[in-house]
Amino acid sequence: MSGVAIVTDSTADFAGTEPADLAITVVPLTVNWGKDVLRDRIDVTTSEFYERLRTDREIPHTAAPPLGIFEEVYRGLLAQHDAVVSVHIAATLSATHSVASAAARAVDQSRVHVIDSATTTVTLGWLAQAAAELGRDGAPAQTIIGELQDMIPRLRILLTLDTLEYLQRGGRIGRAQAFLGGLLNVKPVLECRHGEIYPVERVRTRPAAIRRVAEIVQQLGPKERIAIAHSDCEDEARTFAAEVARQEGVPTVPIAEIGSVVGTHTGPGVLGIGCLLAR
Amino acid sequence: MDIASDTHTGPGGLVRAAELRASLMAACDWLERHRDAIDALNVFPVPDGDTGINMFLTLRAAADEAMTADGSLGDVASAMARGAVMGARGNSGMILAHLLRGIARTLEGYEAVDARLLAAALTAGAETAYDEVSNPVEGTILTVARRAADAAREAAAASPSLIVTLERAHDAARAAVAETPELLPILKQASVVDAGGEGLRVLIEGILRHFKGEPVGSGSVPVGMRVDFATLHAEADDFYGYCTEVLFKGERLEPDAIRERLAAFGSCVLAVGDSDLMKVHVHTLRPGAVLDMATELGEIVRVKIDNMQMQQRDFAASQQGPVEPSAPKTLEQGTSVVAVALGAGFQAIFAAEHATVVRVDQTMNPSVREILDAIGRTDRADVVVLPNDRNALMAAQRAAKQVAGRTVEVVPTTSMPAGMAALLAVSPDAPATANTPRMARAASRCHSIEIARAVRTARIGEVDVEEGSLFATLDGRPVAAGESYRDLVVAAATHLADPPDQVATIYIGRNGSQQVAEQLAEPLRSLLSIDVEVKVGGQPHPDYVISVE
Repeated sequence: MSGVAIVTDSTADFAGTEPADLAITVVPLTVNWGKDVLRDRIDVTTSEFYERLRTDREIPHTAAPPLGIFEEVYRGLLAQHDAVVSVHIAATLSATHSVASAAARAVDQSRVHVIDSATTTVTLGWLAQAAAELGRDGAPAQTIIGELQDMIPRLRILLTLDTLEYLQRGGRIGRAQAFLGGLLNVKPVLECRHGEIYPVERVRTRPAAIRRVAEIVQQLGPKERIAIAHSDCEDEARTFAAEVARQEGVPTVPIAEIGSVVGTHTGPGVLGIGCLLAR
Repeated sequence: MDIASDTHTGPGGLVRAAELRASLMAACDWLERHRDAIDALNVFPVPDGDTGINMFLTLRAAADEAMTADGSLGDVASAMARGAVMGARGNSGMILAHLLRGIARTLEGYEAVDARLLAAALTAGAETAYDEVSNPVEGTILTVARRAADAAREAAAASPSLIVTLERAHDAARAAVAETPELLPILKQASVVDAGGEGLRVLIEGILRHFKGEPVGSGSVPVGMRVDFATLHAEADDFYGYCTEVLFKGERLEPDAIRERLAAFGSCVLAVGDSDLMKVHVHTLRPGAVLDMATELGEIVRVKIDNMQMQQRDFAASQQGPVEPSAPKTLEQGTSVVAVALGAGFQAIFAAEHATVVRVDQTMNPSVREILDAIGRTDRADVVVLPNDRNALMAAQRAAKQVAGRTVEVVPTTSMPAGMAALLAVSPDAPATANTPRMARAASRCHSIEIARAVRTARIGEVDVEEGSLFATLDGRPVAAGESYRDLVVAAATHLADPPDQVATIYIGRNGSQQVAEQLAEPLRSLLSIDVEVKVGGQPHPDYVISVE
């Protein structure tokens, strides 16, 4: 077999497709929780994770995949393919990209191409999907990389969440710390863009914050793709998806559930929209 | 009256730098003695009558700055205007600052002022004030300024006497003040004359009294004690004693010689003034020795002595945490928010939501300097200022204009709840140009209900308010009066144009209670089906401020 194999990590969420159908290899990050070392999506499903998050008083921690796993994956894939394109969660948010890069250097730097997606969750899923589709059609690695580099700057995630506590606890609060510590009940609206999490606005109630997310997305102009991402609030996500579909004039908006690793850092109650802006 | 009887003016009825300074001091004293009376000219049932204190503080800032200026009359006048602009409080203070600025521009380059030049200066002052006020209203200080200037021009054409010119200007001012209720219906309803106009009349009267040699009152005014002096004291913690300031008159006073003598008494020696009027400042254990020196050299005008050890304790108690460094810092891209806030609760909430707070007491009247100081403490390249009251708007705009090299915008919020809504809408990483429209929109979506007790009987708009009864306003408009908190809040809520869909926040004032706040919260929850949050605002009035958004 020849062609280009596509690798991503388990922080990628897929809305309406399955990575296996696209022959995408997903390398799991790990969730360390008490005495448990759980491989994301292998040892723990997303619904098991949120169930435990609600009840377990212990705080989970996340870790990038071990170097050895990446080396093994790359070696295995290179035995059958000309090249590997490996696209991962933003280097600003996780060590995964740097571990993958080290593995690529160890295996075959000329044939393993590691890409920093500067994003995660559903928008990372799109990158892996686009790369896989091009690979399936026989595109060479450079064409695939070119396509990804073209998409990455156009990715946005607008979201609201119940609390900044998880982001702060996991050390991923970044610029959103400008919203920490208030005395009023507010729901933060954040934007993930170019690998950074930006504070956008504080809204007094969740329904209004969700509306605000949709409004801001509307102001972003034409989009090539759009999807809802949520953590443990599927009913709200469904209602929201219908509203966003009406707003954006599309028949449906797919929904993805945020996996355990990103969920560890956001907590439950994230409702957001991923966008690929039109060129 | 002929020229020779102009007792305090120089030869030929001329006023020079020293006389201008002295007359400002006199006007300042005279205005201070009248400030409570001016404050009492309230046109609204809520006791926010602060015109007298604001005009006094503004004039004092003008007089202080004039005291530090050397040189010609024109230079002293410029200093006066600068001081007024930097120290202006409230709308009336800001208009006064504009007046003084117009006057100072006319006096630029002159060594002395005669009757005609005085009339021209008063005219320019009135014109500047009219130009600078975006929506000039007759029946206010503006009318009084213009009438006084008109009368001064007529008098100066007929007589070279400065005193006559001032007398005519004062007579016209008095007549104009008496006429203000006819020009401004709200004054008539409340049976008062315009407070700002009366303030200006008193100011002119004070100057006139000085030139006529009539007394203006005791020397109890603490002149020259400004914030920077207080900070100086905070650092001088190795020395306790009395901060002694004496203003005295004399002949051929020599600042250098006086400074030398003061240095023997203590530290932090300052001596400013000229050969016939001098202000000295020293930290000493022997304030009496300073007074002796002043009486030996001339005549004491005013004395202020503060026990610094006590002051130090109070100051330290008021400074929670270390004094912020003023060293230049690198500014991050994005927008900081400066918010004017009154009441410990509001101040704490604004600060916790990441605004840089201009803390004011009693009334929403920060000086330009206080707003500039707050802007100086921000850490982003752009700044949005939220005045949170109509009275603070002009100071905010003035401060915004004075900052060089940074983008400073004002979102003209008229209440603290609206300011809170605007603050929450800010994207800290976006530039001010992107933030201001969104903040303004958020503020406009926030409605503010206020519930207070009336301090006088009056008819406001469509609502009759009895002294001592409760009344409610919605966005500043009176909507109901009565005795039941529940009825008032329901009445106010039914006046809301679009039903709120988010949350109501009740801010309890200094004289409000948690129980009443709960009485107010209950109908809001059941009527509007929204969340209600109760917070302590700590504002002196009204007792309850309710934001609905």
